[in-house]
Amino acid sequence: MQILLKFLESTGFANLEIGNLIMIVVGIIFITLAITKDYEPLLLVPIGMGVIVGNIPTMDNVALSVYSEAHIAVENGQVMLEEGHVKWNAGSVLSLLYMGVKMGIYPPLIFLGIGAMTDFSTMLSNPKLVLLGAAAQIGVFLTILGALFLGFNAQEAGAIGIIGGADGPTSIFLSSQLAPKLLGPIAIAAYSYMALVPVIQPPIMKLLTTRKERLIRMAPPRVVGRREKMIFPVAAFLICAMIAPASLVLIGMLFFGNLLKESCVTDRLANTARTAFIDIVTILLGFCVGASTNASEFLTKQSLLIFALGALSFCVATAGGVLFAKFMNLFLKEKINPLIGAAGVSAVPDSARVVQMVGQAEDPHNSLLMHAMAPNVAGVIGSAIAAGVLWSVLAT
Amino acid sequence: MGVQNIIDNQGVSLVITGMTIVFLALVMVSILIALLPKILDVLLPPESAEPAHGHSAHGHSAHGGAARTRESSDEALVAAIGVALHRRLNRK
Repeated sequence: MQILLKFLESTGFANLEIGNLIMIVVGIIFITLAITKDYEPLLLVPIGMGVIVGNIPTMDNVALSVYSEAHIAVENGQVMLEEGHVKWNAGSVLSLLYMGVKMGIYPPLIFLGIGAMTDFSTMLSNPKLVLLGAAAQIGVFLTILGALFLGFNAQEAGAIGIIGGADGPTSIFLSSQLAPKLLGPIAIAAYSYMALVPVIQPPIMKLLTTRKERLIRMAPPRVVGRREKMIFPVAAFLICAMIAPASLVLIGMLFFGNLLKESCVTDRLANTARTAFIDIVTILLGFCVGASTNASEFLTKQSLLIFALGALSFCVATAGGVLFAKFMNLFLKEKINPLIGAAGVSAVPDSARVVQMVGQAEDPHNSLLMHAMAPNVAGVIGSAIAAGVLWSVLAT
Repeated sequence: MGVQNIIDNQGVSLVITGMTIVFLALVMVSILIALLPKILDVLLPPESAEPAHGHSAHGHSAHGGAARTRESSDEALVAAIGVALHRRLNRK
């Protein structure tokens, strides 16, 4: 009977708190949105399931959660020994998987896969559109001011600001380096807003452009030679890494993946990087990030502020890209459609799709997708450089 | 908290420096992209580039040539086997 009572005390039902229940509902909402609305299902399903798993109450004496890390037993400052060996706890399986998030291992691996998927042709065919990817990073930096204003320290502000880069792996990488305690809320905010790009961006794009501007048609991109595509990843990497060496990890893997794709002699490697490899890392990353959102760590005032600042950074980044496109039009003979500025907030390829959607709402025969891909991939490079700059400046 | 926190953490300098570096890097990437075709034309003009481009293309054509040779020799082999079998069967 005692054993039964002890077991009943250890069940999730007995230990469930209201916070856990709220987070489990959040996890279910993520999964529902992914399945019914098709909002970033490859991310929201693993994250949603992770949120549910991470909020099942666990027992103190059994290592189950991501926070049950490996440790050496210490008592009164003395390392405990057991039969002549150091007494230690191996930690939970989830904590071992979470090491990939905590130590910033998964994000560069995802960048490798993204590089192997990305076709830089549209960017190479119209180099001035690269600037839109830089302009959208204003969301990152202005949000830092907002975070500082709200009382976060510089490292936390930097990690929060990068949400505006609209790049989940970059956000995770930077927050794991600058503000590990905020990693869960930042990662969830980044991925949630990335999934909500089709909801957040269109009103801002319409608000900042006239109908005449939205109707601008752009000349089709030129055909880019094989040699340019092959040389670009190496040359662009050298420029970016020399200017911002701290972005080397992310940028290096991005361009390495792209070189695998464009070199034409490593098709097997490129194919693996953009399929099974990135899928495995995405599953691990999404699930572990979700599992790290235990209510006791996640449901705090800070998390709410991070979500508010994240939304702000997305809006500012979108506005920055659109307004800069309008600014460029003041000097250009061949005008660019300012809607494509919104794609400067990486979120590949969702923001480019949103541009296409908004453009076609005005003119169903105006195809902006290819043009929008240029600032979109430039945004990936821009946000990685921004992360590198923040890391090098703010690292303690 | 507040504006003082921004001042204490040199927030404005951080924003200006950060945006400048991001712009600088992407402007240089943009210049590289704009100049790349011209640089390639100078360093590897189309005539000489052909073999280089053709290093892969040449490789491809070499591979293709090899494949074609192999293919034709395979066909010859199959034909020879066919002829041999035909003669043998006719003899029987």
